[in-house]
Amino acid sequence: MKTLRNCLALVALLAGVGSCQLEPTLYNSLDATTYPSNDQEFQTVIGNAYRGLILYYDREIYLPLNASTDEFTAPTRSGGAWFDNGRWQYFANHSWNSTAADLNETWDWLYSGIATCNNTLAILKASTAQVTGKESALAELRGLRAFFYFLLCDNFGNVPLKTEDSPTGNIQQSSRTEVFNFIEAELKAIVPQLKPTAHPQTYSKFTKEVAQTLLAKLYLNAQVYTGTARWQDCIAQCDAVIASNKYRLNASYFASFAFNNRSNGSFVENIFVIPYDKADYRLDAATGMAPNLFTMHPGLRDKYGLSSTPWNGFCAIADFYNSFDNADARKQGWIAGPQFDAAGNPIRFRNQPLVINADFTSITQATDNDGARMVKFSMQPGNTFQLQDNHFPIFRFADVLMMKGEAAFRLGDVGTALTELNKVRARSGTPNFTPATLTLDALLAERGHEFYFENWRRNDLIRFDRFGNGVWRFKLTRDKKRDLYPIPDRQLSINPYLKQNPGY
Amino acid sequence: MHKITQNQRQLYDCLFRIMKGSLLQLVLAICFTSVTVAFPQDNQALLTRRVTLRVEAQPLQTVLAQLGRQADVRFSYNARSIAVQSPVSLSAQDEPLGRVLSRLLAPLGVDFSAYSKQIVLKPRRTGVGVLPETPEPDAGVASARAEAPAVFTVSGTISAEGGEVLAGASVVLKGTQTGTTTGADGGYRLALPDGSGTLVVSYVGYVTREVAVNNQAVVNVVLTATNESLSEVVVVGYGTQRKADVTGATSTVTSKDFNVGVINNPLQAVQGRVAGLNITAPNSDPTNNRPIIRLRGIGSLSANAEPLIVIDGVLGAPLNAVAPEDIEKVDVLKDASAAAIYGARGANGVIIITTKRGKAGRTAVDYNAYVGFDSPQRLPRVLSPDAYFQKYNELNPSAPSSSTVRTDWFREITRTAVSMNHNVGISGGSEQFNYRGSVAYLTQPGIALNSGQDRINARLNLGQKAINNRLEIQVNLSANLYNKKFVDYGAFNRAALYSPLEPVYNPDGTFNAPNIAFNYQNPVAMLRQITNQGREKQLLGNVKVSFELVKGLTAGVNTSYSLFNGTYGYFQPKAYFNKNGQTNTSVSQGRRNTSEVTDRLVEYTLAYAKTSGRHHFGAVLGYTYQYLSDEYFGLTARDFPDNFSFNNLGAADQLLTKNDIYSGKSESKLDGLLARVNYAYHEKYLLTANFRRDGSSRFGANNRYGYFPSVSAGWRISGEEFLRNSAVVSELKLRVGYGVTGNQNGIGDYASRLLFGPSGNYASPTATANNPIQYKTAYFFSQNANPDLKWETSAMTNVGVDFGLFNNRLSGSLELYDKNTRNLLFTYSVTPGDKYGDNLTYITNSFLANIGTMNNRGVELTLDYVAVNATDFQWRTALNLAHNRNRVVRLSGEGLTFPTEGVRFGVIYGGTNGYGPYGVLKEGLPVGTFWMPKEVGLNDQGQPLYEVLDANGTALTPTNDPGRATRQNVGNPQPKLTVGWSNSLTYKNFDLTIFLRGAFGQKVFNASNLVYDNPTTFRAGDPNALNVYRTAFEGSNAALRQTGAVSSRYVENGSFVRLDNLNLGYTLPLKTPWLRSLRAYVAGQNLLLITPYRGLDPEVRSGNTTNTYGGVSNVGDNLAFGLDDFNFYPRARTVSVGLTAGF
Repeated sequence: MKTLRNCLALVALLAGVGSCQLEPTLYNSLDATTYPSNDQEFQTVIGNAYRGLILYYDREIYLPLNASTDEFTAPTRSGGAWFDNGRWQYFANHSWNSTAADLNETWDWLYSGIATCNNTLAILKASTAQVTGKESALAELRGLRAFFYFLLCDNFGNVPLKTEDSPTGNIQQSSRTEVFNFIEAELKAIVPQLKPTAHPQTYSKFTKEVAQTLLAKLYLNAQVYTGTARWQDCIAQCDAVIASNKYRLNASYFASFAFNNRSNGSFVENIFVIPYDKADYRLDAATGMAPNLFTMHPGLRDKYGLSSTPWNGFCAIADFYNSFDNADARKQGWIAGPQFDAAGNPIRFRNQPLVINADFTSITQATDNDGARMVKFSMQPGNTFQLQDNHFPIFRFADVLMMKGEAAFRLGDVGTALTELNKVRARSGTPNFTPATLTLDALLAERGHEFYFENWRRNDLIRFDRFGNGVWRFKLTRDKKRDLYPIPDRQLSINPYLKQNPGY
Repeated sequence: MHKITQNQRQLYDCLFRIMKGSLLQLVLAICFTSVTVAFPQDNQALLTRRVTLRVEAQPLQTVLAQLGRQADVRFSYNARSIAVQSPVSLSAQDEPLGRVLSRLLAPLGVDFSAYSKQIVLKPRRTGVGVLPETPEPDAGVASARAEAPAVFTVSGTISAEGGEVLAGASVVLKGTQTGTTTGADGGYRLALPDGSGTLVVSYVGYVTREVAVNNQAVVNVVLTATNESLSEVVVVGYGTQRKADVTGATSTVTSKDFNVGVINNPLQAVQGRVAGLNITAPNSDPTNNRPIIRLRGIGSLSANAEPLIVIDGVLGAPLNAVAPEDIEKVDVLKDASAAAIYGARGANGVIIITTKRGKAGRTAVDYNAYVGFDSPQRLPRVLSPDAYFQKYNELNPSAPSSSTVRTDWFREITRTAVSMNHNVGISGGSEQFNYRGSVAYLTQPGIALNSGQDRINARLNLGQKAINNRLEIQVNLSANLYNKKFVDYGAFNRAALYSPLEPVYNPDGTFNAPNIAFNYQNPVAMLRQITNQGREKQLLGNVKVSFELVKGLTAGVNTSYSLFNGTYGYFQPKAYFNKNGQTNTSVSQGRRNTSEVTDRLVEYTLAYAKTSGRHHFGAVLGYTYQYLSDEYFGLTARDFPDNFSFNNLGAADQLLTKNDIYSGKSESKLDGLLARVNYAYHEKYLLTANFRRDGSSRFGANNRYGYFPSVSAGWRISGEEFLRNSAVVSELKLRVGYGVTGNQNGIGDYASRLLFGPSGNYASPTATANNPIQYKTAYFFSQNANPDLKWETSAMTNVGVDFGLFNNRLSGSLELYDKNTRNLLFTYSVTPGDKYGDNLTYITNSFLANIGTMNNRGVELTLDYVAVNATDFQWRTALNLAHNRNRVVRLSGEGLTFPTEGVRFGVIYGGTNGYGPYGVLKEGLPVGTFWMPKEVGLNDQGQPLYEVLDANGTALTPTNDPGRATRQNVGNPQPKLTVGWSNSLTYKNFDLTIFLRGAFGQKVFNASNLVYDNPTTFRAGDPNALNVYRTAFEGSNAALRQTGAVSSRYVENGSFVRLDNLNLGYTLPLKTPWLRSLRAYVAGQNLLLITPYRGLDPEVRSGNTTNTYGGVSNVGDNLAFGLDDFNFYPRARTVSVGLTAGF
């Protein structure tokens, strides 16, 4: 027994020796307790907050919610391509319900962006490290957060307001008006703290003028959001941006969307851009700026020198495409009809000449050639990546002018409206608006022609009451409740405070 | 032979240094002099009993009797073939019986072998001292140890069932030393004191019978073969137990029952052989050889719901470290009471692989070679080229095709693949030293062009005993090399769809590539143009030392080092993107990446065993420490000449962006304390208790250590008086066990920690107007912290009955189990920004947590029956049946809510975005339940109509919009019953094994039909109309005018019976001194599939698999059950011809 005891002691000893550190060494990530600790590291963290914008133009996340208009859709093509379990069809014909995965993905995306801002704010506030321009950095983060709340307000309306100071647990739902008020208050508070735009040092950053443009956009839609119009406030913010003298229209409409728009000087018009990078790592090959993939026709791959075969997806709804005046330069942002290569020879596809058929009639049984394709965001030739480099302009100076024009028009100031609207319209080569031709319908159409594929169509249609209450090809029913998206079921099950939007 | 000798020598140098002893000469002497004694390994214990005897010129018979008394063994021999009266001399001082017998018998040309309580002596074929084997006219008479005066003589014949006489059977008067053995004709004659006794008749491999003499002069006895299962030794983890003493639920498959043919991975050899163990090879791609392994249902929602693999005591050893041919047996620990000794890794059961070792006795050389022929068992039945042509012209009467091309695309991309295998094993040894070295080489091309694998497995197992056998050292080394050629399974999908009127090649010799939709690629070009290769190396070294400190108390150390290294290369030429008549603006791309996994293990154990009277007591105490690390590196470069490869990435014209380069490393540590106590009283009442405490670096800081206890008890009812003499029941044991085990596989190395990582690029202003920004790497939190993260906990109750009836002619076991898995790991969606736990904030939207509960309960029945046992014909049949019911009980809790409507998952890739999801994870339903609209018919536009139910389940007007239809349970992909049925027949020198395997009651989602079985896929007016199934225009499909959508239309009964293995062999009746045996065989695998399923094969993957053994797959894919995807690699039918020879 003595031996046994000795042996037990030995095992206990070995166990004691072996019960060594179970703490693993971290090899391929940073220790969250020690990072960030200096100014340079903080810049990487603040830079990260801007990444939340990337999904603004993503085929999988936010584009589906914008494919519910009279502008574009993704019809189901041969072999069931783009059927995607009915996803594009229910957005196109306004039959979505609160279980639609895209709604929840958008919700998650926006709150994720907000959480990143909140967390970064918390880190920055708590840090004793010396951070260059800490006050304006904090303001930038609040501005970004306000933009995400603006999108929540626009799409879902009644949402919880979470900040870096929110308590543990579920957060009460705020009404759309309360959300509006929060955004307004935040933006007003940060305008004095934000850096004013300086070209090019503030490129892609949330500057004072970005905040003012966002305020203008908020006021423009105030009647939709709160029931109370704020046209004059909208004009005041537009005027502030105009008065900053930092912006003017580019000579060419297409300069703002070119694959080289970071370096072609278009920042004089593009107030706030998402700086997409074709080589951005960590994104899978098709998340980001990819009009070459999601709209382009495979038969045109070589014409545009694309290295990846396009996916043949989004295209214009025929009536929208046909609504362009042929003289309108902006119509060149679409391609339709017989296609020719650089040498003028017809392009052949499936052993036949390729003819893009703009006037298609079915979203359930479309052919591969159906629908005009968007080339406004120019195709990047000789690009060996799947993604492109076009920076996406969320706010353009053209929008500031048109917002001012619209607000003035709604206030009955037709003179100012014509002045501002025609500044933009002049560039397209179409005749100026006159007091006779300028109507709300014409203004809505003009906004469609100026801002197609810039994620404003739904917002505009709602403001003109032509969304839920509108009718167009593929959308034959009127249903005003659809001006708001439903709160995703998933969120209702997580947060018992949430009440579904009316009608859903 | 010479090479092996070199190896031995090197190894011995090594051992020598370790032991600092002078064993070398002794061992080499034994090894080289080819001692011709054969020790059946399982009975070595008998031969280690120590004897002391000194005799001069005594008859052998007498010497044997003395040795027998000392060692408490009985000797059986035929006095007519062994000269038992020959005088022998012997001097032995406390030596093992085996060694003494070798010395005593070898000169006489007598071999001996030990069985349970007797040692059988047999003459060698030639040699001195052996009597001629000519049968004598009358029954042989041998009075071995007649101790009492004989007044009654009994005689008779001992035969096996079916009439085969048993020569050398032992006949003993019960309770005495009086006995004899039968002659060559099975006859015996024995002189007894009177006619009232009882004869005990025994023969190796047969059930011992007791027959009362009852004053009869002739007593003929028929013996029944046993299946020996109860005397088998079962490896139970940190030790072994006799099957009879085991109280947990275990199964053993020995190599003689392995599946035969082209065996690509070790577990394929036992596929279907163990009730409750489901092994599913995803397809017949030789590179994708990691089967899905599930024991007793699905015990986890994470990808690694697989049993723990233990090879020769190395926990978590990679399966590719062993060749199927080197496996001696596979033990499966099914229930928690057996697996609890493996603690946090035992929850999904344990598969213990024991490799072959050398046996004391003559040097044996085993050679096995085969050639196998693989061909696709089934291919999609699309329109034949002529039928396509006809259909095309029927649908396009105005512009008929005049193409004269007829391409059978499946024929173009498949081939009859000829595999070849050579396997040589050399083994031998003495009582102190044993060795076995082997090399296996298999080259296995795939049935798809340009795919395949070859492998070399080399293994050397050495064993040495020293210091009066108190020190035992085992060294196991294996080196394995795998060369793989991967292919894109999309090629089979394209082959189905591609127009058969298109040629493979253009007239200029380039691949024909019509310029159409992006997913329309020439399948031959897909397979031919891409180079995608891997070379994987697996080394495993394992040293085990045990030392008997005092009698019964043994200390052991087990160490191992495993190194996996994979190097992969990929090259995609620019020509891959060629389109007929178009300029190709793409560039070629080359990639190289490597992966290295190391695993180090050290274990200290202390084992104690003591038998005192009827009490048997055993205990094991141990400590284990394991360290794993995983490193990888890779980079991609673009734009090379097309005939280049991935071997000089620096030559590229486009080098390296952040996208193109990556590397990483992670590690984990495990720390375990284990204990086992077992107690048996009178071999009737059995009790086992296990305990383990496991710590893991993967667990959260609040839960570093888990405790895993188990207890089980057994009652051998057949040992009780009232059953001892039963004619029906020969063995009956009741077992009850309960235990708690864990599963930590679903936790990644740093999964519990708050991580800060690169999050992509951010734009940093540059103040340069023509390039206003530069991209820099942004950093942010990349993972939510979960300091509570821990193992999944399974509590399993198991009740089992082992039985043997009719002298064990029918044996088997019945198991009932109920397994509740708590703390299920699942990645929950959380809302970033919300606070949780101890003032933590969700930063990302996913959170790995232990919340849910899942239940598996089932029944398993195993039967083994010797149906016929005649002289020339034997038939043994074994059947195993298993039923398991899986149910997700609960998924919400602790502040995390799982939607009550469930979460749908599973994407069928195709089109642009895929067709999914098709499954659901929902409380109350089995994992993987198909959840989709239910089709109720077609409307007059040919659109499917789907059921719409209101909240009460009342059917409303059906809809043609799958988005509005009510998603509902349309079937369970998990089988209700799985069956394995094997039949082994021998007729004279022929042997035949027929093995059938089946599964019943499961549903399969036929994704191929979704695309190919729809007439709209074949589009009129399209010169490259996609091909479809022959049935697309028939029956209920004919009216279809809508593209396929996920619905019950494609859910089919997946029940099947497969003729999995058929093996016909002929053993040559050879008698040469140098050739022990020679057998030729023909084996067939997957010869016949009987199923109502309309797709290719209903046996589809359940859960994800990866190309490499070491790979880890993601959680979501694990829930993707029952999908027959349309990107596939067909299953092969294999016929092989082989030869095994023993020298």
